[in-house]
Amino acid sequence: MNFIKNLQGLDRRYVFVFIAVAIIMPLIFPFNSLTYTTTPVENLYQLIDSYSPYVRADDLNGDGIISEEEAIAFKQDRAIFMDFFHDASTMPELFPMEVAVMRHCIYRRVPFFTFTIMEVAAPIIEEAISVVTDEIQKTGRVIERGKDYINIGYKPPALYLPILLGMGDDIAAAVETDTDGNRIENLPMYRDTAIRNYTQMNLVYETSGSDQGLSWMIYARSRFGVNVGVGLTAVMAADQYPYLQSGQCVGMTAGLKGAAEYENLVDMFAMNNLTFSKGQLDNPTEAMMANLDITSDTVPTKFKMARLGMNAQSVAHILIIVFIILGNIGYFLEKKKQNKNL
Amino acid sequence: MKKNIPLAIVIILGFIFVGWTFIPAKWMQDDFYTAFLEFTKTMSPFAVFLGIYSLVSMHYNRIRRKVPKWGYSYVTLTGLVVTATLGFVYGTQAGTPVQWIFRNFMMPISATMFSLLAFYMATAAYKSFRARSIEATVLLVAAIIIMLGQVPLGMAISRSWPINILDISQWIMDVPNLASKRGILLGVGLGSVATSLKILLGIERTYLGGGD
Amino acid sequence: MHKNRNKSWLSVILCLVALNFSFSLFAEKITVENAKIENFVVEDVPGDLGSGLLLKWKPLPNELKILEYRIYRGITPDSLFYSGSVMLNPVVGFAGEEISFLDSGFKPFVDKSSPGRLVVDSKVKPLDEKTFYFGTANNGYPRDLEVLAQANNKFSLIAQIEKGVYYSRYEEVTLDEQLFAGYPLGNVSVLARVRSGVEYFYSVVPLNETRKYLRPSEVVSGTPISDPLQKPARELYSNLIVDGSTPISLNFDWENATGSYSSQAAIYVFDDELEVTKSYFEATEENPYQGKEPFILSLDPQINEYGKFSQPIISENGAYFLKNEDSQLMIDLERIEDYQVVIQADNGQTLFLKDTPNSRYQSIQTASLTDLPQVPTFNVYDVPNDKGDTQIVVWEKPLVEITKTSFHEKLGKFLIVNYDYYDYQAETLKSFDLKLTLEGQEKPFYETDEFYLDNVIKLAVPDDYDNNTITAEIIIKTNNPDTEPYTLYQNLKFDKILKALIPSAIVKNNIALNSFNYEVYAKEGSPQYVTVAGKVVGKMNNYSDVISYERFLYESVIAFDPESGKVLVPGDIQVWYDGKTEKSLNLSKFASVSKEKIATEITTVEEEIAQITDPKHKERLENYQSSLLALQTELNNNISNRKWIGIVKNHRNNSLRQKSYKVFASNNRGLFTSYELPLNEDGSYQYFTPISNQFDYDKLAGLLASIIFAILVAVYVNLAKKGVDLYIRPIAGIQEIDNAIGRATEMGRPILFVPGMSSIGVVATLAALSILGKVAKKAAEYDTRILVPTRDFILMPIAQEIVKEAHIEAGRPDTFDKNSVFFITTDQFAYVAGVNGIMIREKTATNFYMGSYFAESLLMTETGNITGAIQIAGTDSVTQIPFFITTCDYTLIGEELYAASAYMSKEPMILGTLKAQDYFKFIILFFIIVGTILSTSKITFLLDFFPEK
Repeated sequence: MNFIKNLQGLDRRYVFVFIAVAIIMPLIFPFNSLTYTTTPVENLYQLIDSYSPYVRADDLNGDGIISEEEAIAFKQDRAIFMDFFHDASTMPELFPMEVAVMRHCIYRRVPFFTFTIMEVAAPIIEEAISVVTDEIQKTGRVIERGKDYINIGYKPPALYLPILLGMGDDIAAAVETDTDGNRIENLPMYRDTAIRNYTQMNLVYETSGSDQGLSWMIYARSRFGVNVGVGLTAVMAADQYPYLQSGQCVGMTAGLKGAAEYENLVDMFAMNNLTFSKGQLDNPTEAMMANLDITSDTVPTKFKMARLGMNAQSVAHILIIVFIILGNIGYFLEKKKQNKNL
Repeated sequence: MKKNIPLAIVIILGFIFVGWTFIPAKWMQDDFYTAFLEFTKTMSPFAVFLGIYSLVSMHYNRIRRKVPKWGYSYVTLTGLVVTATLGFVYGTQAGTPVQWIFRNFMMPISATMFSLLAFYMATAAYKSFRARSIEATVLLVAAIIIMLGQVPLGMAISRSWPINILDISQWIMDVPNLASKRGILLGVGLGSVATSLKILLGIERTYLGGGD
Repeated sequence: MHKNRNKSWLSVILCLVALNFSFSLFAEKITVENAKIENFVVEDVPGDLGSGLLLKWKPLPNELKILEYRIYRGITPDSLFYSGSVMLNPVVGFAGEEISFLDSGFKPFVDKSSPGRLVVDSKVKPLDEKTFYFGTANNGYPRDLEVLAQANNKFSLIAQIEKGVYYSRYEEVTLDEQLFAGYPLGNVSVLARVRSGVEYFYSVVPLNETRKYLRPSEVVSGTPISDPLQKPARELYSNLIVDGSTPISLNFDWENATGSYSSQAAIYVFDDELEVTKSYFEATEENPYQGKEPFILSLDPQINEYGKFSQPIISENGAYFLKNEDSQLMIDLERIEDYQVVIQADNGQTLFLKDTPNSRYQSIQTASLTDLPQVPTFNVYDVPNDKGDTQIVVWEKPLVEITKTSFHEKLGKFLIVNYDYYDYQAETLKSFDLKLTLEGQEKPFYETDEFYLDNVIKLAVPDDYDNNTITAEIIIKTNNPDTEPYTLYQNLKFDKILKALIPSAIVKNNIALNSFNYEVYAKEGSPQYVTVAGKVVGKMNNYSDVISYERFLYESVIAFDPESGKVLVPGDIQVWYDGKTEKSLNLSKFASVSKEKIATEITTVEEEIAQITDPKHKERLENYQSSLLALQTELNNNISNRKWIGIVKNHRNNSLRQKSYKVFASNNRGLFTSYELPLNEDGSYQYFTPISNQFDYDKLAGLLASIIFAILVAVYVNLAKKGVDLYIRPIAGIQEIDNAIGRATEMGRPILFVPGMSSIGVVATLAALSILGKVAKKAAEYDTRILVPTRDFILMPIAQEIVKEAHIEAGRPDTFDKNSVFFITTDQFAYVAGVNGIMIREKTATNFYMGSYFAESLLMTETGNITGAIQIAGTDSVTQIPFFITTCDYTLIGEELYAASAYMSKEPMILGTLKAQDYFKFIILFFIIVGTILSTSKITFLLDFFPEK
């Protein structure tokens, strides 16, 4: 009784300590918490998954499963285009989702382009690529620049619109060279595939801490029908909902939460080489569950950054809710006591 | 006279802005307005000088008078002199000492200040969300729902409910929240138009320096 | 997450320290002193016709924390000039095996930011004493014509000249007996590109993260080669167009190779075997061609630009022929697929139809006339309410497209249909009917009239719906009363992977719109059409052509001339383009030369007139001639160069901004139709110039509202002046201001006034300043100190003045301390730290936060809370209001901030505006209610009156 009453006049410094502990402890001692995926994230995941040769290739030997060989033999006809529009300040939120999407693409052999008009984002692209490829190459698969992905890198902002519109016709003509100065038409990912323009490169995934994704919706989507997905900081997410509702934006990963959800989907399906299915999402197999365990070493730490951060965020949120409830109980008890005294 | 000339300048320039808003023609947008804008740039260097003068004189006085914690004024003045000197000597490109100072002092300090927000938000929420009245209770419940919508726990709870907690939190954001926001914005818009009009017509003159 | 960032910073610092240690421990490793760039090569870029070089080198180890590789380029190996750099992030490093730098295209060469004289980049330590590195941090070549003259003929140079300078700052310079226009070097920016055949020398200098220059690489040279193209065209298609069984024409369609600077010369049609045909192009005098003679079609530059040509088929005595001046070929319709088609470029290379990548199209295809695209509308409109730099080319009516569907299964099964619409200012979409029919059924299961275009329709699907295909019928109504409603179709087919109905392409008049692209061509200042937009997808119905006002003009640089001290560009100038006669008049920037030139031009035109028989054409030429004569008269008046260029400028401004358009609808496989604008009555082409509008009618509603509001203000100010008592609702926050100041006085502590985070240009800041005036006056009356920290240095002197005046008004000028209004910093969080420090040190009794705020509001108010101050806030920043309400004692929400000063002054003028504001809100409320009712009952004129943005 006294405890709750004391809560009423609790010194704010105790609150500070609790919050600090609630944020730091989950980061030091990771634990498994449930991550439920939301529709905008699932939509984005599904769309990228539908581009995979594991879904699209012909089942040559007729065994009902697309094997790795069959997927490799398939002439790629889909790709995604990633536009990085942020600097290092929003990296804590955006970087994990970029890594998760790239990882998804590599596991499912979906070719991707990376691009930016911010000079400061060019190293972020390199970092994301190296984080993903380094870890996956440890498993023995070789990932080649120019074949599995093309890094267009930095292009001056003045070329933004010309490139954006030019890719409706031919990406090789619009951007000409990748970041290393190779002509796009000489790279295997362009030369040996059917990927030419938005018809194949049917998803633009743009990560930013602003409403930059809009320019893709206005210019590229309305003219060429390309799907636009966005990765946003949590603060900006609310502004994007109208576009999700109107279908102008196909999917969204918002903040750390969106990144954590995407990481989860990648671990459940892509890592096990499974096609996304809503049914399996609710009744996961053991193999899927094993990958979800973030306390084990099945998944490298770099690939669970969002979930680790999300743990801290969740605990802090719950702590605040608990504080609010306790505070209110104390308030009511006090009021009751006062009423009695009257 | 001291007030009339500045007032005339404000009114004339104000009407130019009005013209700029309603006249899309090239003579207004490019030839006149853009050329005009160049002038405003000249104001900044003088003001920077005033700002630095104010900063130095304030801290100089603090040190001279030995007001409590006057030692920190030395830190401020040293920071000002050192950063400015390094900037003038080495430039401000990447890799120069100024950038080093920015990355190793400014950024972590700013981030620390910003992260305080998490603590303050927690205490603010703790103190203010009390069911004192019906309105406060509504606020309290809405806040809890929105927060639950942000964490897995909320999703876990709502799976067993007929209505998704995410949907409710989204509805709160989209409907009551948006409606009140629009109401406030409408008032803000009108208020700022009124203030601008008052300035344009010379009714409001405080900005000219005190008095009415 | 910000805690995380702190941690990462800490770890970065720790890493740096650790790195330092490791360097000192293992000195034999690669260090800043001995690091050397390896594998540095300079290569020609293949297939670019000698316009670029590619530099490649092995990156230095990431431990060296390389920040930048600076590239130095020279035309001799001993003097190299800074010409660009590759920036890296020293923390992340570089992952690849090879770093490259592409030296191609026009890049800045010398401009006004370049150093005035030759500067040796002293930080570079050359490998030998003979090599010199020149340049500053951002520039290479100096503004020294003696030095620049070395670059003459060694680079392709272009001068970028500002319009004002272009017409005024040139002088006559004679070089090699030719007359050129010379501009002062300080007034032009010169861009440069490498030239084929010239040897360039390069060296790369690495810089580490402390901008320490490491050892430069060896000097390596490279020469751009003008390499021949592999193929004349990328693809070639040919189609025989028939009307029933009668052949109409043979269409050719090819795509020129990218980066191709050669042009196609001719198309050959052979009635022969492939092998025989090939021998035609290999034939020599000793070994002549044996097969049948082909049909030869020579291509002019205009056809080259289009990449399309339609050759009519002539019928004579029941036989069909391809015929022109050079050759003829009889066509056997039965064997048309065996014919060979070849395109040849001017460099002799050929592409056979048989070699076209797409195997389906390796022979002549036959298509019916009805397969060709039909375009209902083709016109050009000026964009209303703009500066006059855009016009729209329109070739199709407004369209609606279903773009996405999704199922929503909550309380029944719903389908959410998302759509987009494409219209343009001249004809906009008013509404459309959507009818959805299940496959195999006749009656639609859903019908709606979509009049409010919000891109989404939600509907219930029938109970027995089982992912059947749905046909969507869209009937479109536009705002043009002359346009009959027209229908579009789309099929919605279920996709198993995406678990949604995927919409097919739009079908209009039985033609799928996505099977055609549009190519827009325009001509301005020359009789040739050039492409302005290639391959606009089928569902787009218009193209906005931006015709910018000239800001810069570009001229090729002839030479840097140290003798005259000028940059020389050609003396020629295009004076006008006459669209009626399709003639371009090129004279000189100098009146004397122009005088000679115009005389020749007049003689040529006279000769032409003498030969012309067509009366209309003759009349046009005579008009042209008279305008030439008028110009000649002016020139003969011995006018000065300055006056002459003034005349030229006027003519150029008027005649070079007009455009005529042509559109091709094409499947890029040989089926195409071209659309041209109808000719004028006198037989000349129609030209369009965008109009610079004088009033923006989109903002009419805004202007009217402002006027009504101003009238209301005037009325109420007058009423107030007459002494009518105007009631104003009391606002708690404002009434408490007095008490709050009184409290500070009682406690003997200062008042803190934060005037917001924005600059003086923001209305909220102005409102905050008027409140400051009132608060400062009260404080002066009570003799209480007021502290005003500012974030904007322009705001500071104004705030100082306001507080000073307040003290004078209160009769206490002696108590004013100038240092109580001070500048802290412009940095957001540093400012917060400063303000919080003041609260804690000075123990302020009352804090005011007025103006606009961002993320930092809670940081300040919560600190104020800790120090136990009374806090009154007022802001128009909607997102920060919750924070203020939870932590402050009183908060002025939104407009209350603006009203506060009126409350405090009780002056009739200001009270009047407040009252007017209240009544204006009634007007807004009225429109909201009426608008809602009208729109719900599908009456949208009110909705349309108000602009969307």
